[in-house]
Amino acid sequence: MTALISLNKINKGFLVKKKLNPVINNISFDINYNEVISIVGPSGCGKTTVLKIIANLLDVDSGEILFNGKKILKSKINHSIGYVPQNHTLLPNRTVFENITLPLEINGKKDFQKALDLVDLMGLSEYKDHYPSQISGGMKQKVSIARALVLNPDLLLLDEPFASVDEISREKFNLELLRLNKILKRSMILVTHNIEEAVFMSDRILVMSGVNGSIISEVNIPLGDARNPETRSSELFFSTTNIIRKLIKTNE
Amino acid sequence: MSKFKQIALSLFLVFFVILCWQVAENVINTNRLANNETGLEAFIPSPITILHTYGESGSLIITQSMYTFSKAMIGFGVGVVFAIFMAFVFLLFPFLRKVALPILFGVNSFPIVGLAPAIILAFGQGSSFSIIFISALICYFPTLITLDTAFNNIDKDILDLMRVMNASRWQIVRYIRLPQSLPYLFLAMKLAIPGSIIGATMGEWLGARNGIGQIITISLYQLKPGLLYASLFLIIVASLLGIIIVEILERYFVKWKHLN
Repeated sequence: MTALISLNKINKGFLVKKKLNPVINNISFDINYNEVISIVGPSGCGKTTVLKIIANLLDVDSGEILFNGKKILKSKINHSIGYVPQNHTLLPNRTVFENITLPLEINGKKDFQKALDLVDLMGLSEYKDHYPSQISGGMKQKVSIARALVLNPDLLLLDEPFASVDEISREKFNLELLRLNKILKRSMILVTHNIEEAVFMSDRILVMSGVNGSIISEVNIPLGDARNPETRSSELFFSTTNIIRKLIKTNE
Repeated sequence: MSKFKQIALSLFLVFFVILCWQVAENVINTNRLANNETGLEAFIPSPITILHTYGESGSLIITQSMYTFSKAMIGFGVGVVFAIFMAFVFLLFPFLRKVALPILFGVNSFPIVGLAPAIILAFGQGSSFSIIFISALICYFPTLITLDTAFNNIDKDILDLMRVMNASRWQIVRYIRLPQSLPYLFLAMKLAIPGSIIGATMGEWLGARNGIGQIITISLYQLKPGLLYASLFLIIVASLLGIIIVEILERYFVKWKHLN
């Protein structure tokens, strides 16, 4: 079966004082349908750059990206990708519902039923008519996720979506996102600094090197599908987080 | 602090300053007259004298100020509309922005006090056009620069997100740049309102047959400080009124900025 998305030997650098500074080094990986993967690694290792490359916001220096087996063309945006940036980026002049319907409006879709369904599914009904300044940081990220899902994308890219919320809220949002994805069955790539979050959320984790921007390891998460708050207390959870932690530390 | 308390406190402060002014004026005036010196009233009128002037010459001040304020408002409208138009032109043609903006900054640094006589010379003394032109010029630059900065100061993450949503350039303007720059436009308008009245007054002051600028000139030459101060206070009140109107409009059009 063809992977949903395949990255083949991707290289990317940025010009700093007229000198090419490599950030992504020969990265290759696949993401399958309905698979959740996380990318972890030290700060500045290029995790967000990988997401931006997949979202076609950055051109690669070499290598290719295949989406459903077809090569992604430069500067042609793929509607099958939903993107949740690190900051919630909600428009302050639009209500929660208007923020969620923005992608529909932009793409000329008049039927907002999908947005209403998402509002219900994500428990946002109460806040539908609120403005972003009237809701909490975690709620803003939920709206941001709903907005990314409203066009029914096959792949959801999440760049540290819960970095700004406290630990307890983060665990709650992790659970909610897993519950949502059980219903929607989307593929997700999650970039996070939080190893526990990565292990809890993912089927597979890619560990990036802080030295040369390459993927140093792929770790399959043996936690199964039924994940709940107790999962975090299991021995398997602890041992897996320790493996990931060691991998990151040895390649900082 | 509630809005009502804020306003009440501001009004109390104004009243307190006026009261201090009146008391100080009375004390200094009495001392000067006792020493056979010219009373302070001849140079700086007391608040009561200014009030008397409104009673005596109220109709003259109001009639003349209408000339000034009407020209100032036309100048304000022209300046703001033209600034909005130019900000859009710069948005559509970034190359033009790069070339023209430094030149506009240069023109803006030219002192209006020096430029105003040149405009009056060019368009004729007492011409309404020259007064409106000066007024519009004062409003134009701050509005253009503020709006241009707002248009180009959008969070990069939001622009990235719009690209992922496949938004066109026009959609980015409609959904992002325009609504997010509205608070800045209203701020620029609040700054431009006093500027437009100052511009019109300056234009009249330099050579017009009507207007509050003309009254200021007359009161200076005829040594009528009461008339001078009464005119100045009317300018302040008119500016404040204009700012309040813009504030009301802002609360209507940018209500999301004023949520609790």
